[in-house]
Amino acid sequence: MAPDRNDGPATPPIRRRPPGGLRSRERRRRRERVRTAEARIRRWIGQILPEPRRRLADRAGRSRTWIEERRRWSYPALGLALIAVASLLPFLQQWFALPAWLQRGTSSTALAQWALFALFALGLNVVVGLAGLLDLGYVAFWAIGSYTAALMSGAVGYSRAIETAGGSIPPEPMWKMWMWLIFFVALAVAILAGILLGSPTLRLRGDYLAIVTLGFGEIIRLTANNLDSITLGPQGIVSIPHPAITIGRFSVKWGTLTDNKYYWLLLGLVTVWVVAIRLLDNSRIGRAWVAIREDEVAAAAMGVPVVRMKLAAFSIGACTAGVGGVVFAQQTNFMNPDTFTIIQSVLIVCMVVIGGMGSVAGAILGAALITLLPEIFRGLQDYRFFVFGLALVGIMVFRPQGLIPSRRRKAELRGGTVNEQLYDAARAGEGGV
Amino acid sequence: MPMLVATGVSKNFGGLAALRNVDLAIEPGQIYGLIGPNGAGKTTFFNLATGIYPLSSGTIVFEGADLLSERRLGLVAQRRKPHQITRRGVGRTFQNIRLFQNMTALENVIVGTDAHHRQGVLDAVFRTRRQRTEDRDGQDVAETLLEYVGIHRYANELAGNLAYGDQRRVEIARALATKPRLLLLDEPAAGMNPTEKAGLMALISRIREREITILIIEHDMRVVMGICERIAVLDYGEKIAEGPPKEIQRDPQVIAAYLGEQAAEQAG
Repeated sequence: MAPDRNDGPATPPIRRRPPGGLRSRERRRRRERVRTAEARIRRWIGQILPEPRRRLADRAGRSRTWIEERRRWSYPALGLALIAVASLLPFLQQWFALPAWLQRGTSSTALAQWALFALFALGLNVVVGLAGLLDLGYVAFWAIGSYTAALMSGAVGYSRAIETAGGSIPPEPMWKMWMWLIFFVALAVAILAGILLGSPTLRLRGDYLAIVTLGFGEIIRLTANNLDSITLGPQGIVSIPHPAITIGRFSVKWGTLTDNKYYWLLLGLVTVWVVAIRLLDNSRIGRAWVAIREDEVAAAAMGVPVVRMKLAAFSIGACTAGVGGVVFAQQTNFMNPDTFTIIQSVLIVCMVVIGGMGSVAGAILGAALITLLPEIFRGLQDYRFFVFGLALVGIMVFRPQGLIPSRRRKAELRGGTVNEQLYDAARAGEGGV
Repeated sequence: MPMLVATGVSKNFGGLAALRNVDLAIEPGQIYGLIGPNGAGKTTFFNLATGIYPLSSGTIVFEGADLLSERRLGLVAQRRKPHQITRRGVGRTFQNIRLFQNMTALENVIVGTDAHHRQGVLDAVFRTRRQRTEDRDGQDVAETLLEYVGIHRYANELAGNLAYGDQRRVEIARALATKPRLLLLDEPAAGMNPTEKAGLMALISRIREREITILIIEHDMRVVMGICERIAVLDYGEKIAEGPPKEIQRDPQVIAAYLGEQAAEQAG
């Protein structure tokens, strides 16, 4: 296998003052990153494909490079295209005659559920995937967001009025539609809850933290169950108003459960969160998270404020769940503590792990699999969770790093990269693998 | 005025006294050696001085102020956390290399520069000017430092893939990135071949020229005697000698500590 292109000497040396100043250094850096990515892809393809198809594979590798080289506009463009496709999904069954299982998979409720859990998975991904803290009580923050929305909208009082009125249903009160306010208050309350739970417990490591968060999830659920005077206990809160936003003359009103607009709202939130998380990951905060995950003692000795960075991850995760919880409460219109059982936390952890810890795309895909597959396999009736479980086991056996692993996590799972090729000598032969 | 003054430093692990009443005084600009047989408490001293372990008793004063604790709002003295000590100007490397294996060499050093950066979550999400300048500066500083320690060729190589000697250099660059005025090096020459050792000694001398004081733990006597201006010898947690290298070499107690060990081995 002859090398098809000579990559030249491995890495161009970094000079203190490159000719042409910073700009050229920046460009060189980018080119070099592209080149290593290309080599990696080519090596990978070379490993899985038999000889004759190599040429085709090379071309595929190069097209990836073409996109990466123009990432300044190609990445946003790809993102927009993906969002456009995703937002058209609910129309599929109107435009085409779909098989029944696909109809179930693209119904507006199924899609909204996917987007909701994608949001949760993104939030938990920050905690578990990026900061490396196993949180098994994530549902608590979802509950906190939902109850905040229910309490602020005045639905509690109305539910109680229905209860005391006996047979006749009392007239609906004027709903308090502070959509924005509710959003931000729920965000703040969830962050506060995250800090309250996190500051004493984030000093714990690994398994111990998992147990504490597990307990916290149950505490919140049981509190909601027993605090009849505020949360109406196990009978739950009914008639939580659907959201409505008015900006000047422009106003949007969300309808009942099956309204497509819930899906679009959640899709919008997911988009915002994806961008925010990418930005965080590429900042000092993201670097600190990796450092903590890799070696906490060394990170602290290099000036990383360990507890504060963990707390940041924890409260970012919490506020994501809080915001999702608001939309959930307003969409389903009814909720009681049974909504927030531990199985929900476990499912969200599954989404993150299946998708690939630390990977944004992975979290969204994981959410899609776990919310949509049971819908699609509904035809199997009682066996669907069996199939579902089998799929989970299969994925973990054959792809422990997740379906779309993050670059770094993949390296971590391989147990370092010790047996990889080293330095120039190996690099020279890289073109041909 | 000395830069670092340790007075009566003791550390007990349960019933075991790892350090007993150790006094050290390091002058600014010095290369100060800390030697002693295995288990003498050298690394324990580093861990105390960087806040990883709490002191059992004694004080460590850095540039005239208590290094390990501070009074907040005039209340009870509170222990400083390791990252706060790093920010005050004490950098360190580790005996067993503790690089972030799955970050590139460059990223490792950038984490070091972040010690003095102030950007928070909101800066990152909104890409404020502070975030952008800090990240650009951090990257430039990191590249310059990698060049300074001589491994800029491997800047984008995962740290875990580098050769042992190069990993040591990345670790030094990472420590330098935290802008220390006092640098603690824990056995930097361990596992190096003679050429690498010579390069390391040259590097340490160059670091001193940046007006950074260096406290170094080292077993290799050629390295220690070659670069240190003053040496303290620990044995079983106690300081048994201190002075310039020439005196230390002749000190009967030091010879006993080292040769006595050997004699014991021969007898056993």
